[in-house]
This record gives sequence, C-alpha cells and structure tokens, in this order.
Amino acid sequence: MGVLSGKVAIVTGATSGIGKGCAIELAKAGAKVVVTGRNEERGANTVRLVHEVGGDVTFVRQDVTVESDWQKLMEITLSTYGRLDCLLNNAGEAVIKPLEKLTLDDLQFLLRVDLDGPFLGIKHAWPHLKKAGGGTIMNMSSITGQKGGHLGSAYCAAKGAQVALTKAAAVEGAGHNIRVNAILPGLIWTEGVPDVMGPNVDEYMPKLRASVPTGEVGETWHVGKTVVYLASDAAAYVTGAEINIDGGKSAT
Amino acid sequence: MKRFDGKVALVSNGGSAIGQAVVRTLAAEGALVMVADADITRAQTVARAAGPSHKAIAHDVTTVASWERVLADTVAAFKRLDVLITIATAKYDSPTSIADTSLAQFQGVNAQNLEGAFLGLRYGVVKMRELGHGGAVVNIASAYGTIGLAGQAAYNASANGIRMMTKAAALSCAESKDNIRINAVQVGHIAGAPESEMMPVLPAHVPLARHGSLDDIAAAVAFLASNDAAYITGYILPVDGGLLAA
Repeated sequence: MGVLSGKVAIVTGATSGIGKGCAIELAKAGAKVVVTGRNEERGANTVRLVHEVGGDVTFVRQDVTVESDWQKLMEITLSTYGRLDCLLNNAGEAVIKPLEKLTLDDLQFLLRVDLDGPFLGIKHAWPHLKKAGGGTIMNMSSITGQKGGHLGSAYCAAKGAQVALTKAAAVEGAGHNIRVNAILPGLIWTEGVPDVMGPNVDEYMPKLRASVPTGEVGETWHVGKTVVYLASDAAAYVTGAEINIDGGKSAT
Repeated sequence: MKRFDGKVALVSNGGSAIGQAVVRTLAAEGALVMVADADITRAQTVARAAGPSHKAIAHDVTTVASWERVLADTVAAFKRLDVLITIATAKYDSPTSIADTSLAQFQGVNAQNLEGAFLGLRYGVVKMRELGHGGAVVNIASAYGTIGLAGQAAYNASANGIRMMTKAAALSCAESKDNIRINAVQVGHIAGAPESEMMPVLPAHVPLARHGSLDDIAAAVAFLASNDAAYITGYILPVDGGLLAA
C-alpha cells in the first residue's frame, strides 16, 4: 500500500529523463500513471520500465503545445482510470545561446513548450481535479526560474514565467483544494544532457560537478521522490512553493 | 524497510507541540529518538509515548555545555547520530513597535531562537563529522523569516537568521564533502505552533484559508531528513498553505 495508492497521475514528457524517473517513482508509490510524449518508441520504453516496478501505466502520444492533444489526453485518462488526482507538467525544452544569437523564434519556441504547455495542462486538468474534490499539480521549472543562468536568457524567462504561473494557480486553486507547486531541479544527469551540452561528457562533467556545492550531479529519482512527497497528503499544507533539488546550488 | 530504520535522531525542544509531532513521526518510521527539552518531565512523556526504545534528556538550547552534553549522551545511548532537528524554542513577545523594543527583548528572542539553532548546528555538525557517517539537520524556521510583521522585529530577525544560517551551514558542509545535509522547514500558521499563538486569527491572505497541522510539519521534516531528499541541501521548504506565494 503506497502513499499514492488509488491515485491517478499524468506525467508529460515522460519518454525520457526526469519525466521517466518521476513516472517510475509515482508508480512505486502506488499511483496509476499516464505518461505522455511525442515519441511512441520511447514511450513504450517508459511503459516497460514502469511495468518492471509493478506499476499500472498507459502511454498517450501528446504534444503539450497542442490544445486538442490535452483534450484527448483527459478523455483517455478518464475513460481508462476514471479520475485524475495529479498532473506533473514536466515536458520542457531548453535553448542555451548568447543573447546576440538568440532569436525571437527561440524565445517563442520555449514559451510555447515551457509556458503554454503547463498553462494548457492546468486549464484542462482543473475541472477534473475540482470534480475529484481536489488534487495536485506540479510544474517542472528549474533553478534557472530563480537565478540567471549563463547564456540562458530565453530559457530563464520561460522557467521564471512557469514559477509565477505556479503561484497564481496555487492562490486560485486553494479554494478548490488544488495544490500547485513548482519543482526547481539543479543539475540532474539524464540522457538528454549531451543534447544540450554536447557529446564530450568526460570533458565537461568535472566542470559541471564543480559548479554544484556538494560536487554531485543529481539523479532523476531524487526529483521523483520529491514529486511523490508533493503529490501525497504528507504535503497537504504545501502549495505555491518553489522546491529546490540542487545539491545546494540555490543557497549560493 | 522504513525510511529511518537503524537511524538515530536528536530532537531539540522535542517536548514542544511541533517537537512531539516530529518525534512521533520519526519514531514511527523506524528512528531511535532522543527527546531533548528544557522540561525533562515533558521530554520523558513524549519519549515514552513514542515507544520504549526512545530516551529523554534535559536541555538548555542557549548554552554550549548543554548542547555538548546532549550530543555526547545521545551518541553514548544510541551509538550514532544521523538526524538532528533543531526546533527553535520560538520565543516571541507581544507586538512592540520598533521604537519601544528594548535591547534586552531583542536579545532574549534571538538567544532562544537564533542562538539556540546556531549552537545546535555548530555542535551537531562537529559531532556528525566525528562519527563520519554523514547525516541530516533540519531546522524549524518560520514564514515570518521571509515576510514582515508589525511589532515583531526580533522574531522576524531571528527567523530570517535561521533561514540564512541554514544556507551558510549547508554550503560549509557541502564544501567539506562530509555528506551532511542541512535544510529548514519554514512554518506558516500551524494550529498549536507559535505563529498561530502569536496571531490567533488566521490572516485573510493565507490561500488555503485554514491552519496547517503539526503532522504537516512533521511530514516535511521527515522528508528532508530522509534519503528521499538526498540531493536537497541549503533549502528552506515552506509549509504554509501558500502564505509566501500570495
């Protein structure tokens, strides 16, 4: 009997990285999980991993920037599991470039995925969470939502906007017993890091480690355990919070 | 396997309302707990209520000698120290304009709240380093360490001091790679805890529009003290019904 037994959670962008890790931890805690993403093959891999920990999981192909995909996702979730208790808006993109090279298209691309995505998720989950008597929403922001990151002007803007959206939704959700929190990971190792940082992992890893006070790079389960805490009744009085998971980086 | 199986926790001011809930939660999750409190009878009652394996000790959070003795006795009794919870005795005075606050009042509040937490961190970290197995410290701080309250300059200052000291201490430990994590829980209006006593009427701008429970605080403390929070240090977790977000 896990702390999330009987609960149904959606995790967007769960075909890789942090989303995949969170889906596994939610399932281990007893939640039924709907995992979404654009890549069906990688979605099938997440489904296999959740099955390995004994979880009940469904993959739904979804582009978080497309409103009709959200409608379809809610229909499938409700028809499959009958309810919705938890939404983890995890899908996100990053563009790291000098200001002079950043284009308006870069910024708008990030705002579509990192801000429109969570906005649409909140909007479409809202009536179902209200109907369930309350629920939890978590938005996967980043430490860059609090602090300026080098070459991250567009990325920081999008992640910071996500934090502000979280707080406003938390204030509005309080009357419906809907808790909304932002999660701000620091440096977490995922298979997607080389896509952003480049393929020479051995070269930049020592530098990355040195940028974290504890000298450690986090793992996806670290984020997953926090998600389980926030999604559970143990966090019943936690809403509108920015939860840092970063080996001390946000304390600097 | 429970989260604190085989772990030893010291809870200072463990006889307080928050302390009792924290002791109960950590004990239920497998920890052996030393309950330290200025009132030994209160500490013994809390320790006994948590089960036969736990112990109680008299403690004055404002003196070095008392912290040294409590830490030494905890290790003598249980052979380890994995978790230290410092609960500031959360002393506050009735609202006093800054123009009327005496130095003695200011120092009195800070001695109980901020200096108490400082000594706990100072000597707790040294003890954990001696033992060499790492550990986790969770300080109880207040939402009123971030937002101001008219007439509570001393309380505001002590509460913000605990927040910032938590970050500085966490960074020191991170730098020495001693595997000691230091975090804080920033409490809002919790029924039975000092903020609700200081302001009996819940402010209208608390989004959840209700008081939190002592168990809400204990659950947050247990989360941060456990391995679930292995990558979290120097962090201040608000458990405040959205107070700081609004």
